[in-house]
Amino acid sequence: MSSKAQRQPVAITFLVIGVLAIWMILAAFPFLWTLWGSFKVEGDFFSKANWANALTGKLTVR
Amino acid sequence: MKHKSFFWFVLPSALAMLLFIFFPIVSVLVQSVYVDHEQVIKTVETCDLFGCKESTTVDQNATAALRAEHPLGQFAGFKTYTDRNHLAIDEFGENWTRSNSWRDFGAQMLNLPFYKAISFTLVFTFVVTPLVIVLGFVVAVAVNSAVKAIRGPLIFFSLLPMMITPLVGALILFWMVDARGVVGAALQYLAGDPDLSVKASTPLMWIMLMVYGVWHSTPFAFIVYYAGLQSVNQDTLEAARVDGANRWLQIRHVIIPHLLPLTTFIALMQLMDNFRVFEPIVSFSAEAHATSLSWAIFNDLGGETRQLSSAAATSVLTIIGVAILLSPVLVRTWREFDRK
Repeated sequence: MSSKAQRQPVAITFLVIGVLAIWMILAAFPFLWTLWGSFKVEGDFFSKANWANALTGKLTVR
Repeated sequence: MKHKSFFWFVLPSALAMLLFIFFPIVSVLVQSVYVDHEQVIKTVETCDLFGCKESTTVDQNATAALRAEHPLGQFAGFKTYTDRNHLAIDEFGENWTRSNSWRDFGAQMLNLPFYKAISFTLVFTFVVTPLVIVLGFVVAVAVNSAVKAIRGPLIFFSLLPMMITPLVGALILFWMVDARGVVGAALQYLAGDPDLSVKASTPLMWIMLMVYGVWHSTPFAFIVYYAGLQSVNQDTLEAARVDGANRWLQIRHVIIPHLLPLTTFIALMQLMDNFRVFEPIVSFSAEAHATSLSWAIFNDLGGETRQLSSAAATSVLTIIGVAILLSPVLVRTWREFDRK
């Protein structure tokens, strides 16, 4: 159990959480995006009409 | 250790270094001062009803015999180093006298293959290396401050960009920045320009290649710093806390000095790695916007006409470049070692 003196201030805790959240998104998002894309057809994943088709999978569900 | 024991201890490493480092470098050095033989041309007289005509043709047999006799080619000295594809000494002089301003001179020099490659290589090296060091340190401190239960998953996800093959990682980012990809579409939206294309713009492509460099190499700096953070003396930190040092002062006066030797190590590794940037240029198909020395070597060796001398000369220039880049760090480390 950490003592009161060793406990870090709330601002630092939020800063650490913020840094980690941003870094996790930067590090993992490309892989999650590729994983998501592996379940979509090319027409959806690289949709010229609307990039949101990569999320909704308009052609994939057809 | 006795001299004899030391000799037998070092011998395998010394032999391996001779075989796999020294001899290949000597081979490349020798190859760089030779060029291919020119084809042997012969004059042939052909006669028909309308008279005789002289024509020239390549004497395949004589050319093959010449190549078999001197397989290394013909000695050219430093001709390959000074030609247009490398140091371009003549073109350098011409551009110097012809150009009206520094800007004009720079623009003309950047049209030359070697200077185009070295400019991107140096910018990439000097932008990516410090960013990787700073970001790696920040992430390591943040992960080290997180509760122990989630540190394992945090480390795993932090290492992901380094785990995969550079070519594949660069390809994933390339898909994302495509005009139809998620990042490309987001950039178009933010810029309010539906025609914005990272692939078509040289400055954007340079930025994208550097973003990839930072993304790919930060995990390396992170893991080295994270390992270093585990060995920080807790008594010193406690003493700093008792003296009233806040979190920033503890980092500034205890943690950073403790991690300084690791920073030297990361800087050395990253300078070497970034100076031979290659994979992102291939994956991003960025040859039209950015080339590097490694890409120039790859380009010389690929295709039907393998330009071994040109590739060898670029390799030697790359080795000299790496040596120049590393020399300040190495000299500093040597002086510190000497002082101790």
